[in-house]
Amino acid sequence: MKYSEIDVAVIGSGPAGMAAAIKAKEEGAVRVLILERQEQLGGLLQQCVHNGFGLFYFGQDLTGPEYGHRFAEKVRDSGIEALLETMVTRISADRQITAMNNREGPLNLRPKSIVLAMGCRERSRGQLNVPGTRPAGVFTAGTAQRLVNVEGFVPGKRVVILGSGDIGMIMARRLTLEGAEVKAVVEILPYVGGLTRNEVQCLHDFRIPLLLEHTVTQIHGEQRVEAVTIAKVGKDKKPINGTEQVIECDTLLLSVGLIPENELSLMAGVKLDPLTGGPVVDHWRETTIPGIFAGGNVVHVHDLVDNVSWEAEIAGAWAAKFAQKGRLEKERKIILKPGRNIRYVVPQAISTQNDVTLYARVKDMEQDVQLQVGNIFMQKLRVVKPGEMLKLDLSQSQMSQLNVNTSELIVECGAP
Amino acid sequence: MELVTKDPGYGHVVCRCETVTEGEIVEALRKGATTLDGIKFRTRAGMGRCQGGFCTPRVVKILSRELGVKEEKITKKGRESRLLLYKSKELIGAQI
Repeated sequence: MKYSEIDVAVIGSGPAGMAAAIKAKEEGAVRVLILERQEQLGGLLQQCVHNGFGLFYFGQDLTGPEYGHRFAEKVRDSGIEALLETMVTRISADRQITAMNNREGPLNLRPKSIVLAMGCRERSRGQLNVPGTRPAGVFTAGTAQRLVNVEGFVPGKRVVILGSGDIGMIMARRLTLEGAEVKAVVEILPYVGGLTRNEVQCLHDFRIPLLLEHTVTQIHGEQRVEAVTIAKVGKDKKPINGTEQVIECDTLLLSVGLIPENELSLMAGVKLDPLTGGPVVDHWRETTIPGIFAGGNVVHVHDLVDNVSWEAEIAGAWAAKFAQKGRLEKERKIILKPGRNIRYVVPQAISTQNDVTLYARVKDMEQDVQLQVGNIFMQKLRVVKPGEMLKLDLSQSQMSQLNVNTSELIVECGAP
Repeated sequence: MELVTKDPGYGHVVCRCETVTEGEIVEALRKGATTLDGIKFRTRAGMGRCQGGFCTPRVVKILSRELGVKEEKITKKGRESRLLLYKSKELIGAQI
């Protein structure tokens, strides 16, 4: 068996998978194997030709492919094995992986530990229930991004974008640069879904109309998209009668949210957190199944790639330890729960013996707030938004002040 | 394994959500499918949880290759339902 002695198998080779594999190797795993469905390493980074990658991780402003290339070179140099164009079709609770490619056919392997790094997928039209016909010309923003940046096509020249997620705003700019006219970015909320930097650099700088508190109520066209009807929404997010207007266009892009890609995790019996859509993980980024770790967008959707790689490194490091020892020694754990105006917190359980970085997202935009973990004061912020993830550094000394019987901490965001 | 040895296309998964291989898509093509929806209804490619987000560009490429027509000519359901209206850079400098 060619793949019988694998220490750590990593599913996916995006910014999470490559970072996890490199870290696992550095931490002493002998055979690390990446399983990637595409033709090259990098995952979605390949199609993200815009800049803004690596500002924190490398202290440099890189494009997606450049960011990926740095990791890919390290993967090659450190002797990590990679199976490309290989689709993992099944993972079981006892860490059996079934995969397939066109060279070897079906493959079975049983690594000592697994890192899940499958990333996320986009919400589609079917999950929005937009009424209307089903013409050609409705794409998710990420599919359009692949078509333009990798395949070399522009899907259409008069475009409306529903939702203001980061990929949607980046595609608004990209299509404008390609000579298309982006007629509007339509967002149901009173603020954009993505990062402020993208709102400024992609929409304002290119004078692309942003219609907040609006949504698409109808798609027109039998063969190809011919127009969409948009309407203003009320406080209840329902369209207001009489505010409808028709915008002629040939393309509708959807940028309405990302969902962690966890079908394989579910097959293995990993418990998912309904708030994140990703596995419940602890301080060590271990899921509820021993030996199966997870990091990056498969756990929760990040807005910066740097955090994806950092989080996956934790998973990679502990997966290497698990491969060496067969289990992890874990001291007392504290469960974290979201409280006031907090949508979710990751990891869902922490160790009191190490410093830890918590990732959290708020439910609604709020101004002049203070963030707390239990009674521990973390920081004051002028503004918090769902589109911008919170990063909280909790030190071991802060945790040492906790009552020894503490088993649960509530993370809260509210007025000081 | 036998299928993959005979035709490696059966080892190449194109639609990850419904696990549809390139071999199955080419087979559907040979049985008469000429559009994206034609492939979808015969194989389920694009019918899964991501609704073709991942496989649409890949299926278009296979259709173009097997039918011997340009990718811009591939349609969703025939007639005027073309999926990719322009080549990259075609619109730059053109009057919109």
